[in-house]
Amino acid sequence: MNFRHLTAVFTVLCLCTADGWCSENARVMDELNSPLTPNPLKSAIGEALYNEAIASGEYRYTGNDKCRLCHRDFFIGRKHDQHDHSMDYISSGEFKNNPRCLVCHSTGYGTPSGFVLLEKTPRLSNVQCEGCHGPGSNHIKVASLKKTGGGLLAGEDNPERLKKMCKVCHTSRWNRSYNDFESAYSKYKKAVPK
Amino acid sequence: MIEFWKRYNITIVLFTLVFSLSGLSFYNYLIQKNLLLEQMRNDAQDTAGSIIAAMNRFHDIKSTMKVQKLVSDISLGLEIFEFRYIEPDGVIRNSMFKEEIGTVYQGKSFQETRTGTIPMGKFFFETRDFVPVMSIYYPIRMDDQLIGIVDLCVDISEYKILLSPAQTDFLLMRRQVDILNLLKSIEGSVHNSVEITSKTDFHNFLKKYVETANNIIQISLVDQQHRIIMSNEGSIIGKRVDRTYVSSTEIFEMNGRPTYRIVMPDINMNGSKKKEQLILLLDAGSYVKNEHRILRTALLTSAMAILFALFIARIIYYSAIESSRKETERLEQLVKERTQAIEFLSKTDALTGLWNRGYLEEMMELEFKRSRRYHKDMAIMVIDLDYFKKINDTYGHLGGDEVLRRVGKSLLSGLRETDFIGRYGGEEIVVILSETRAEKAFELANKICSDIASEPIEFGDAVIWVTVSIGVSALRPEHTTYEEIFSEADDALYASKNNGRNRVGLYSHS
Repeated sequence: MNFRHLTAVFTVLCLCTADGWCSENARVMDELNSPLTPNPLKSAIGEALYNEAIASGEYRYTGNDKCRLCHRDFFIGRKHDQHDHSMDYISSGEFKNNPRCLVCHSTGYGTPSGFVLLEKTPRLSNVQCEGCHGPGSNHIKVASLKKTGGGLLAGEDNPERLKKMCKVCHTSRWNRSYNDFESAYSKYKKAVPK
Repeated sequence: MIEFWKRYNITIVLFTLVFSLSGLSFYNYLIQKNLLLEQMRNDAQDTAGSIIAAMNRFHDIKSTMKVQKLVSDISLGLEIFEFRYIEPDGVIRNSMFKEEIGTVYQGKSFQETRTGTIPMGKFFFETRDFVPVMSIYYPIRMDDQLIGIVDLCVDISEYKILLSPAQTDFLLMRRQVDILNLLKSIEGSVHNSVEITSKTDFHNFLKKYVETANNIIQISLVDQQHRIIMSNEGSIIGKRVDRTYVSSTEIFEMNGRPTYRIVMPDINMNGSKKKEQLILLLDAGSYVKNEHRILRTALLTSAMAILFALFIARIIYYSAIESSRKETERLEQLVKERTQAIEFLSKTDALTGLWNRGYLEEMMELEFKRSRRYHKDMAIMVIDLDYFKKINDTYGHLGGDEVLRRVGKSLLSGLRETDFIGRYGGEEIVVILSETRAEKAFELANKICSDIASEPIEFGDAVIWVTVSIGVSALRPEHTTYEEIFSEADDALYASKNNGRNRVGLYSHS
């Protein structure tokens, strides 16, 4: 391999990177010019139920440290999941306080007791368990009384709501990490308590 | 086989009856005994179960007094990443993760505290479950003795993301002060609970339990090395027991009274992984009493069956003997009668009913010998029917037979009881007259002669006049055989015949 070849490879790599950055940048620009992404929980369960649940005071975000008390294996497994690193994409840049981004890169943003700012609520950064299942305080209360669990606004017992939760953020713009929603959804194993 | 059955059927039936009844009563005894044993074992198991539950509850109370509530409060209420209460030997007594309670803690940093790499009571940084944490192993001591270790760590991931190193150090220091305050309060709480626990003596608890129960003699808890680690009897705590003592459930004699021992193996007391055994000694007096009672009943039933069978056997035996005796007697009588009849027939003459010639000769010899020995008189009379051939010719043989029969009858009625009358042959009849002199014999002969001559014999429509000739002779000293007398009488008979018949001839020796 001579110098000319190396130069050709370098050029190709630069072009690809630039193309990727350009397209990523285009998606971000597109997102910034689009209507605000709605609150995922409110969209999934409907406004009436959302208002009733929040008003009751029973549904509060606890952070996944509390989930770990019973679902420890799932907690450890999630450390390899991109959801658990979603804040990394925005935390160092200009968008770290942008509501358009935070709504999908944190847990419970826009909901009372949910994520507010990295400085105020660092424990609710990233998309944690409650990011998809809704506030967990009521689940802890219910599961401590009966082994069957339950008590979540978007639990595994209601897959339709759960799928709606996914689809609020994973729009056609932000679905590059998967091709088929159903097969991606089915990859998530049940969080059997240990 | 059939013969054997016929011969021994009653014996076989009786034996079968006895064996069946004995077998049944023994089987019944076994069933009842097993039932009693089963009942006692169930009762004992129930008792043991309640004791174990009570003991566990006792431990629970102790554990709860230690850190259970703290764990629950801390893990859910505070921003604590991990919290454990570890015993000095490494067994996790309590943890925010329920599944690891009772196991030996395997954390890497904990192992390092044991080797001294990480000092106890100091904060250090590590990663647990991919999360950066600040940890401390806080020792809890009482009277300079380590009684437990609190493992506590907090999540510090946000410090690293948000703050500069100087800010982080400052905030972490403040956090450490807070955590130490929390640990101090935990230490105080553990001290209090240990003091309360020490006042609640387990030995006293068991002692009270045995005192209130009416049939429990002893409760002991034995470890895997067969050492008694707890008992209601303080004196045996710490002693070793035999392997066989803990491996079997049995009834044995202890201090002169029957005792039932039940061993509950593999008891997991206090959530610990160590397997212990609960040995329960129960008073088995009532069981032994009842068992003896049912054994006595079974033996009595068997004995009664045997006696009953013997009684029936005896009745059957006696009735068989009696019927056999009666049958023998009957047969003997029959044989006797038959023998007599045969004997009589062998000695008599079928036509006239008089004695026959054989017997007559026998008796003549006997009478002759007897008379000679005792110097008694004896006479012999020979009677012959006159013209008997003519009678036969005239009236046929039936007529002759009838004449002979009637003459025989006439002689029997006319002579004395002691006279012996026999048919010598043809129309000749001989009479032996014992103890009779010649004169008397002659007189009798004449009477016979005249009696027969005077009585005609009827045969059908005919009347036959019959006469007889008689020869008489008597014993004299010179006679050596009876034939001599007989011969003389015969001679006298011929003389009578020659003298015209129908007369008596007396032999004259001169």
